[in-house]
Order: sequence, then C-alpha cells, then structure tokens
Amino acid sequence: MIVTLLDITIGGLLTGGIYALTAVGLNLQYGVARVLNIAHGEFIMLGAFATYSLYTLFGINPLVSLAIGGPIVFIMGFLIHNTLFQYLRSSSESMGAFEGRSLLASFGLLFIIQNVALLSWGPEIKGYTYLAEPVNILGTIFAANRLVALLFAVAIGLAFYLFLVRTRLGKAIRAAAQDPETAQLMGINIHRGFSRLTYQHDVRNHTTYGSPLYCNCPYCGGFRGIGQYPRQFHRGFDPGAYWQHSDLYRSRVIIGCLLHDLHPLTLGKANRYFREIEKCIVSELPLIKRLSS
Amino acid sequence: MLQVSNINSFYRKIQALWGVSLRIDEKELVALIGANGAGKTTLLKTISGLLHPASGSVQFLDMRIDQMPAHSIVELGVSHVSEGRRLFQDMTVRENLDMGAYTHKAWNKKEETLERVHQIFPILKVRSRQLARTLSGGEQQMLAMGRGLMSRPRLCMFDELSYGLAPILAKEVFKIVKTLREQDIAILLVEQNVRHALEIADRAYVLENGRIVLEGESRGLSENELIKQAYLGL
Ligand SMILES: Nc1ncnc2c1ncn2[C@@H]1O[C@H](COP(=O)(O)OP(=O)(O)O)[C@@H](O)[C@H]1O
Ligand SMILES: [Mg+2]
Repeated sequence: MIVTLLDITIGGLLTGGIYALTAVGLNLQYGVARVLNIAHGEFIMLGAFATYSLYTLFGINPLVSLAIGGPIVFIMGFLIHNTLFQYLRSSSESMGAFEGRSLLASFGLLFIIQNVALLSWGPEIKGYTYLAEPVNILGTIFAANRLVALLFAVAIGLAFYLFLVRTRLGKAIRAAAQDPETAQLMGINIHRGFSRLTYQHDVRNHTTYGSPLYCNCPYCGGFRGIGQYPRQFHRGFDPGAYWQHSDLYRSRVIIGCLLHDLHPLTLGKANRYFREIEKCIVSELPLIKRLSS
Repeated sequence: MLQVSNINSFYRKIQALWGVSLRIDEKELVALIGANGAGKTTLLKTISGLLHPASGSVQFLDMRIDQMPAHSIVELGVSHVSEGRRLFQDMTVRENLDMGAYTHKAWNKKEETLERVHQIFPILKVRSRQLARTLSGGEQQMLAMGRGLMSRPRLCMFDELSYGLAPILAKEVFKIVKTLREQDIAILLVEQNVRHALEIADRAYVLENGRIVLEGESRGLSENELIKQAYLGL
C-alpha cells in the first residue's frame, strides 16, 4: 500500500511538474512573444521520440541526448521564430492581427509536427526500457528512470526559474510579459530578440521536458499542451507570479498526482482521449472555484 | 534641455495634439495642466517615444528624439512615470526598482542609485521584498516615482502623481517632487491638482483640446482670471 502511494506521489509529481512547467512556458509565450504557441505539447512529444529513437536505434544514452538536444532545439526555435513568426509579425498591421495569425500558424505547426511524427514513428504508443532497475529508498522500490526523470524535470524547471528571477534579462522578460508599454519606458527593447528569445527558451524547455518520458505517441503531445490554455486566459501572464502563487502550483501538482495514477485505477482502461479532455476540465476546477468566490 | 516644437500627434486617424510647443530648461520644474482628455498624457507619450508625432519635432539635449523608440529615449535621460502607476504588480518592490535601472548605464550604478532612492522613500526599503500589488496606494505611487528615478534621469515626467491619493499623501508627494529639482533633475509635472502644481512649479502650460492655450510663470498664471475660474474654482 505504502509502495503504491509513494509511487503515485512520485508519478504525480512528475506529471504535475511537467504541467506546471508547460504553464510557465505558456505564460511567457503569450505574455512576451504574443505567440499562442498551441504546439507546446508537440515539442514535448518530439523530445520524447527523439530520445527514444536515439536510444533504441543508436544506443545513445537518453541523458546524453538530453544534454546535446537542448542546444539543438534552441537553435531550431531560433529558425522557426525568425522565419515563420517574424514574417507574420512584419506583415500584420496590428498586434491583434498578429496574435490571430500566430495562433493559426501554431496550429499548422502542430499538425506538421504531429504528422511528421506519425510518418516517422507510426501511430502506436512507443516505450523503451532504460534504467529500469529497481532502486530501494527507505524500503520502497522505485524504477530508477522515474527518479531520474523527476530529477531532470525539477532541475530544468529550477534553472529556468532562477534565470527568470535572478538575472537582469530574466526579470526584463517577466516585466515585458506583464506590461510591455511600461517595460519600454524602463529601457527594455521588447521588439528585438526578446520574443524570439522567449520562444527559443520555451521550445527548448518543452522538448527537454519530453525527453525523460519513456512512453509516448504522436498524439500524446496535443493535450499535454493544449490543456493549459483555458486556465492561462483567466490568469495573468507572469511566470514569476505563477511560482509565487504556490497554492495554485501545489494544487496543480496534486491534480497531476490524481490524474496520473489514480485515474486509471478508478476508471480502468478508459479511452485515452476522454481522459485527456477530462484532464483539462478537472484542472479547471480550482480556478473556477477561485473565480466564483 | 527639452524643446518640443509644433507637434501634431494622432491615435490612428484621431488627432490628439495640435501644433503643441513646449520648452523645459535645465533644473526647471514645469507644470502641465488641463482638463481630462486635454491631451496631457498624449504629450508625455510623444516625448517619451511611446507615440511618434506625425509632424513637428522633439529635441532633447540638442538631439532629435521624436522618431526614436522609447527604450532609447530612456537611455538619453528622460524618465516617464505613467498615469496610474503602472507597476509590475507581480514583481517585488526591489525587482520593480531593478527594472527602473535596466539601461546599461544605470545598471552599473544600481546599488548607489538604490541607496539614494531609499533615502527619498524609506518605506521602499522596508517593503523591499513585498510584491508591488500588496502596497497601499501611497506606497505604490512612491514606488512608481522611485522606479522612475532609478534610470538616473536628467528629465523626469510625472503624470497625475496625486490622483487617488488622500490630501495628506498628495502633499507629501509634492514635497518630494520639490526636493528632486534640488538634485538637478528637471521636472515636467502633469496635474489636475492645479493649485498644488502652480505652487511648486516655475512655469506652467495650459492644454485645452490638444492645444496650448496659455503659458507663463506660475505666479502670473495663478493670478490669471481664466485659470482662477476654470481650474482654481475661485
Ligand atoms: N489609446 C488611445 N486611442 C485613441 N484615443 C485616445 C487614446 N488615448 C487617448 N485618446 C484620446 O486623446 C485625447 C487626449 O487624451 P489624454 O492625452 O489621455 O488626455 P489627458 O491625459 O489630458 O486626460 C482624448 O480625447 C482621448 O480620448
Ligand atoms: Mg492623462
């Protein structure tokens, strides 16, 4: 019993942690770059598949792909932003028009990535065994890969958090997300490089979040990302605040726990998509409560 | 120091400023007064680069700045404290002040400037780690002013500092503005509280429907019949 509970907790922390990190990414994306990057979850999925292939085909250690993958995707984010979004920005007459178009473009990106993944990896759920040996902690047995994945998610999240909270650039990004006009009056150039930089960070982070996921399918990304949207529209768009509102963060982790492991226990083999949609709704609950009170 | 010449500013197709000219000399405290919707905020935005005039020019320290982006104008030494405070609500007091010193020049001297700002607004030191949104109205206004000073400006523009403040706090704020000019900072003060503004300003401009209708020494203006009737309620 205790084993199951601990396992549920750790699994939930992992899932909840990734949800929380995705939410931070959304805050930034929308707040600074004004790009409604629907394709968040797809980058998670892509990261998971890339790691999967590198491991199963070439025997490359997933932890190594994680380390080299980050910078590569960072550059990929640069290219996508410089071509696609930069073009849309310069051809849009207003910020509102740009938001609409970037949303559509993100949807396009989502379908492209999904279909490329579908063609390359097929529709089945893929998994691999890595670091599956049991680890004994306080008399409880865990698979080592779960612990490693958790550690990585926490480390990436923490590093990004410190970047946002401690550095001049990180603070400026948060300021620009909260109030772009005032940020300009502080001397922050919100037009050049800034939105691209957040986009790059965002894409890189999400791909890395995905890397330790040892179970994945081409459609798995969709709701991991999209599920975040309704909530972000109700809340402000500052990731710093996100971390400071620790009650929200905690509730999300708890929800992560519930969704990740209790759900299958109670519902049995429920339809995966149904579950995903339900995730969006269930995770809305605390927010709805807050709004109505 | 600042020379605004004959500017016309628009919000899309709607003209908000019509041939406005204004001058501020070194260390001068100039008040800009006018009814709601007269165009005061628009004029400040045009100076700080948030808005670019369709015609006319803005010169600061003999440089043309009217087509420069806002973030470059701060760097030259113009600080704009917006109407409604516009704090970064979800950042701490200290982080807000840090952002005020974002420009490279100011960032290098941040600690020194911070000490000065803390001297002027001791409460900001006490509240350092609190989120801006948790401050009282008066404290928020102090933070907005403090943040504006963190860039080490030569010219500071304040938009409706006293708005929404209790009379005692408003008085306090005006007192602080007065001490600033003693530190060699020129000030452009936008106010609805005309009496207070004219009390501390050297000169003043009156804006009506986007046009300057009166200008002169504050003392003279407070004797002016039109001002007495329209703004001082005498
Ligand atoms: N963002 C905007 N878009 C369109 N019109 C605006 C905008 N801001 C202000 N205006 C108009 O410009 C005029 C001057 O406004 P403003 O400069 O804010 O006046 P004041 O600061 O003196 O109260 C007003 O008629 C106002 O309705
Ligand atoms: Mg105004």
